[in-house]
Amino acid sequence: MDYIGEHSFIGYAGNFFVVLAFAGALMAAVSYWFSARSDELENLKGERSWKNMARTAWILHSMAVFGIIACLFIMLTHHYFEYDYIWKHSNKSMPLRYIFSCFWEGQEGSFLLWSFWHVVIGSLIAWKAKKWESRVMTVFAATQVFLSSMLLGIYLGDFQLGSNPFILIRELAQNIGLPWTQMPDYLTAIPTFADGRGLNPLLQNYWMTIHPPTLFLGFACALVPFSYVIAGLWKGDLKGWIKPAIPYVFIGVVTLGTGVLMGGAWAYEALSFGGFWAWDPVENASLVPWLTLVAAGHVMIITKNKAGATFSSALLVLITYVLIIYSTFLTRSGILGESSVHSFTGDGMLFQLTVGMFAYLFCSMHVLMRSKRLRLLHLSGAIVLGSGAWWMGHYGIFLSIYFAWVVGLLVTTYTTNWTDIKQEEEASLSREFWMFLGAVVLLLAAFHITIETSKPVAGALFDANWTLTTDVAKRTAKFHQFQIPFAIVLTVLMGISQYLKYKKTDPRKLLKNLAIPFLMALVLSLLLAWATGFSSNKIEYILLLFSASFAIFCNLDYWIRLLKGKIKRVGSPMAHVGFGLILLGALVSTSQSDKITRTHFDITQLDEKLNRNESILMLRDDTVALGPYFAVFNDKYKEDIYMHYQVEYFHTQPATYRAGELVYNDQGIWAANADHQTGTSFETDRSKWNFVENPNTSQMQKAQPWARAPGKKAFTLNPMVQMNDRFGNVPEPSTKHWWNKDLYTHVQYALLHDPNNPEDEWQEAEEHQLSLGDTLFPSGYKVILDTIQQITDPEKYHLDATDFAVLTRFNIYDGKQHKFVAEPLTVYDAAGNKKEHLETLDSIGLRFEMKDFNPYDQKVTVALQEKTRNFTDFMVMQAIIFPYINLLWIGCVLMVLGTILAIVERFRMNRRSTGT
Amino acid sequence: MKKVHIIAIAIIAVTMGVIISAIWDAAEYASFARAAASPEREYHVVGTLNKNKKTIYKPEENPNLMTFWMYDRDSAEHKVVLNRPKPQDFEKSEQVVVVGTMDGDKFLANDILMKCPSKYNEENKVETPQGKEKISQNEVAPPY
Repeated sequence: MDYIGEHSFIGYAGNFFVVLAFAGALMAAVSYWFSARSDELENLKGERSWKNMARTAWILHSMAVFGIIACLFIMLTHHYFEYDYIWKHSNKSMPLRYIFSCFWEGQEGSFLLWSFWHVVIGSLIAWKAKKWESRVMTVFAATQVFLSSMLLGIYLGDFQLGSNPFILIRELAQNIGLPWTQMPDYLTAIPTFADGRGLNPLLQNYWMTIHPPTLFLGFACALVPFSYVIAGLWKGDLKGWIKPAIPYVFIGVVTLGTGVLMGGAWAYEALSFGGFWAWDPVENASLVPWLTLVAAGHVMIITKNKAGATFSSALLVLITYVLIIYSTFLTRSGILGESSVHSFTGDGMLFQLTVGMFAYLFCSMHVLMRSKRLRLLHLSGAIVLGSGAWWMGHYGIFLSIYFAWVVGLLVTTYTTNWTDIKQEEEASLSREFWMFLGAVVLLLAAFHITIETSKPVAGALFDANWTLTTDVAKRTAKFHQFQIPFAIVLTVLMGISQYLKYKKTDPRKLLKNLAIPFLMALVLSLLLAWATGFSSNKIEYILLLFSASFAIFCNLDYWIRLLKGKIKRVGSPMAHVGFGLILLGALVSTSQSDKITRTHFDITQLDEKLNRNESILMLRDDTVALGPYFAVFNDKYKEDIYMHYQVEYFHTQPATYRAGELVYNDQGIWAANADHQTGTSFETDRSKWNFVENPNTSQMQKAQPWARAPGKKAFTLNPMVQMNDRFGNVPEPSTKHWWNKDLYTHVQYALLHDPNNPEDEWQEAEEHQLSLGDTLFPSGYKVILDTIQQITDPEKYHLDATDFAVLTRFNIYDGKQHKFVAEPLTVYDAAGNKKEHLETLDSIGLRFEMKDFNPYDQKVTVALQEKTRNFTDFMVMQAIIFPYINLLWIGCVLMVLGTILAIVERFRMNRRSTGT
Repeated sequence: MKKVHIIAIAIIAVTMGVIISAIWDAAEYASFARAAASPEREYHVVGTLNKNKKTIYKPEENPNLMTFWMYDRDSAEHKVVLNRPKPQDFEKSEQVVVVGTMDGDKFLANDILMKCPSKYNEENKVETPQGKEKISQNEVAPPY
């Protein structure tokens, strides 16, 4: 059957490229492997011909990946909504600048993005790696086999391998056989296909354009050292891989680090977690590989400069990539469930991702074992445990046994097979020893974050109900319990080790060198403590305040005094200063943050268990005291999909007017004749104002209303709610920045009706039982029960003669003493059944329904309804002051810049030492 | 190996042990009944709102307090007192997770998470001459 209007060609082309990409990667991996094998057998001819074949296959694979990307872009720009991916992630009204975001919003697109970086970097390596090419590229190509399989979307029996971006909606498994798929004109007949669902508005944001590519570039860079380690160990060259891999480790550190920090900046700017870091599992998942990569980089520098620690270098690089695959697993398998604010779902990839992850873990551990016997033990152990888990379940127990088994084997191989490269004992006062300790601390920090973040996974493995608490405050406390002490130790090491020399250092010289930064750190931390009013009963916060300052000054002093301020060498100290500033900024801004919306009424009246009072109610046009300001929620307007809640902030001091300033009141326009502070009223200040007789237009425009309090306007903030009808309404913060602090505000609960287009609906009724003379207070009115009397002339009220009716009269007063009357009836028919009767006063938006009349105690039950417009508009808001948060952002910039400079310098040194 | 190394390894091993043991301190999903059995512990209770009973949120009295009724997965119904502003779209939620402790017959929650049905589920249904049919059940997973 031919379907009308389907663009099937592009789908065929796309599918062709998908298959070609997979086949090409597989071919390249196999050929590179044979090439390396021939090299081992010293079969030069075979090595060359296999390598040529592999290169051709890699080129084919690269072209296929570009082909897939091109097809997907063509489909996106031409709106081919018959394709599932296009329909799900784009629509016609989408501005073109979000096309990239649409591209990688979905699972398939983001795997493509990752593949793209692998292709780019892999090609660069293939070109530059020379004698390393075959082995390194075997790993690259094998990784591409794994990634390409994620796009295959083929069924092996019931099992779906990958998910294909070129599948038509009518081809989806759940649609096959449905009647509409048999309609040749389904594209025009079914309105759904006219437009796509579009990109989640939450992601329509420039961060979504730059954050994923940066992060994935970081992931791709980490594959380079990983491939080099495997290549080196495979070749039996335990150390040679270090030098070519170091620059890529640090490129990975920069890009991955930038990606992680961008995530934090995105959260701070556009999401309402109430901060830049919430220890969310998804954030943690990308932070952990960064920590281990940093550790790996530093240990590799040790190995390069002074042999030893080769095993640790290899181990760290290997686990970094395993952790990257693990982070993909965490975020895409759907296993995090409710513990993350990022909504991820499985898409049936759990099995494939699990298998992939174990393949990487297994291979990584396998290459570290340097004897046939241990490898055999590892392999057989894995097979026994794997099949045990397959047949018996209890995955958690089998996995724990596997980990224990691997640790045992690694210890054995380390003590027996890696001894040949161990050199003389390290002096405990040497740079390498302290750097190594730093790497260990980083590893422990990564380990802790991984364990905490994996609680939902552990729950699934051990059939327990474990999860990670969603309460940000509690979660933060949990992480800080370990992470703060780690940070303290790390910063001390970061400071001291700069003054240490490789091999051996004179302790007296060291102490002399440390004196200056120690004193300066003391001064800075005291100064910061004073400026922020730093108060904390937590000793670890105070220690970190000092140790981070210490690390900063040590590195500054090291660069200025010991490196003599050479620009060439500034990279490493600058990156360390940046890292210190990040910790300092994070510590000061979060531990000293002040929720100024905390209400100050006597909370002892409240249940002590319900004492959280961090948000404030803001009635429209009411002035509330908010920290050092008066704030008024005074306007609300809708723009696009955003509802803005305008809040103006005023100084609390009385206004000061300068000579010449113009104001107006009900008498006209006035010009100030002297600088003055306002008195109690305009009349008391009358002598300081000159009446402007015939004001011109510009004067009229300039004039502000005369006001005494709440002082002069300081600034305006517009926290928003994104009206996102598909993914829920989401608040977006609005922040005022100063050099030394931020005021961060976000709406927590608000009425969402559009003020320009008010829906005038009846609200839910409230029932009241009343006696004569009782009063009710609906919004803006006073309602008094005036009369209750039985009706003797039912005809007058259009009732049946047999009805029994009671009239209730309410006198209603508004604020200006206007009087309205409502006379609802309570009517029962002859059988005693109550009849519906409503009295509606549309003009004042009140409606009365009599529910019951009790003749014994003369009480009536009335249900009172109000219209929406009667309500005073309000919102509930939270405002937080983050002091010195700019230290954090400056730190980010310095760290990234410093690392880049260090990489540039290292490339230059490498080139000089190889003499090319 | 030097003594320093042995000490260092011992410290690392102990730290790792402490970190691993923290797994027992994990937050846990539970039913109201389980939470009532150990009222001093914090639990995550998953369930659905009882939309027939009134949700009370009076920001003019306390903007940080709301009460509602919910069923847990065992269909046990309890009053929940949430010490937070009312979440936007609260009534639309299909499933809620509350975090807190049991206090007598009410649950004191200090956090809430909601799953809202997206409009997508309706868009999912295709108007056909034969009636409404579902196109796809997959939800979107945004990358990072």
